[in-house]
Amino acid sequence: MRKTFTPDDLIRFIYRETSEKEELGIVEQLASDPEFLNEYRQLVKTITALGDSLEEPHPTSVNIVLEYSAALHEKTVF
Amino acid sequence: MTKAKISDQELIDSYRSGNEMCLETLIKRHKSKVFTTIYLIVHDRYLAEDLFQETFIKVVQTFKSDKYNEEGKFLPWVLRIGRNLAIDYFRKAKRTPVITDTAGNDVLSFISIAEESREDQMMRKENERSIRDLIKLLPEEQREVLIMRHYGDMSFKEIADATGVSINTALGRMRYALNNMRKMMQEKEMVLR
Repeated sequence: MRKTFTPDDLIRFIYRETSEKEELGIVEQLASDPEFLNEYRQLVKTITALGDSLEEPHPTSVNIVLEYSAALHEKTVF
Repeated sequence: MTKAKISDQELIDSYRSGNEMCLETLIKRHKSKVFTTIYLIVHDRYLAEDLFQETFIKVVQTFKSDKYNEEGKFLPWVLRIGRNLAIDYFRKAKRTPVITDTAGNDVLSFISIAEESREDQMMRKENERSIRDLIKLLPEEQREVLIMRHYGDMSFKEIADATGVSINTALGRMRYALNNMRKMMQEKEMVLR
């Protein structure tokens, strides 16, 4: 029997967490099930709208960690 | 000829052998994902800076004490530390995350924007701010999964491990989060492309 994929499978598909076999099944279902295709389009729109730009920590935060590590390193070496 | 990227594990091994420079490479490689994840959980840039430092100090301590055993899974492990520290903070302070207005706090933002007009840049920033304001309105469990999957780039399996739920539960929370985001965006009449 053919597996019927769910919106949860579509989410895994969009985030590339499905196996090749699952991908083929999902693509087939997308081609034959308009409701499933509509769900897919809505999910893609929402996920795209989330954007992918990331926030950056202040360089001082990174330096504090590096200085901490360097101090520990010196303690160990000397 | 392209230079092969050194893996996280190689950097960690080299750092543990005494090469301090490798830590810098490792932090620079993952700092944005780690910081964004923490920031979206706590909604406060200054607190996020503190928790970011604390997270990587724990990373350093674990490396130096030879207790690291997460071979091949550095980023999910760091994100788990960051998430736990954020939760601990709110538990100790006995309060829920405060929703703060980010306007005016952008002096610490160092996102580089190339080939983008000032107008486009402002619109993009405004849109990002609106989306993040909506993310804050999601129920905590949904917000957490959405942040870790979308911005932290953790797999659903890694999220399930980090939050102590099944993969199906993590997926279900993500589906609810996306449905709620879609509804809120429609209510706000935001353009979905």
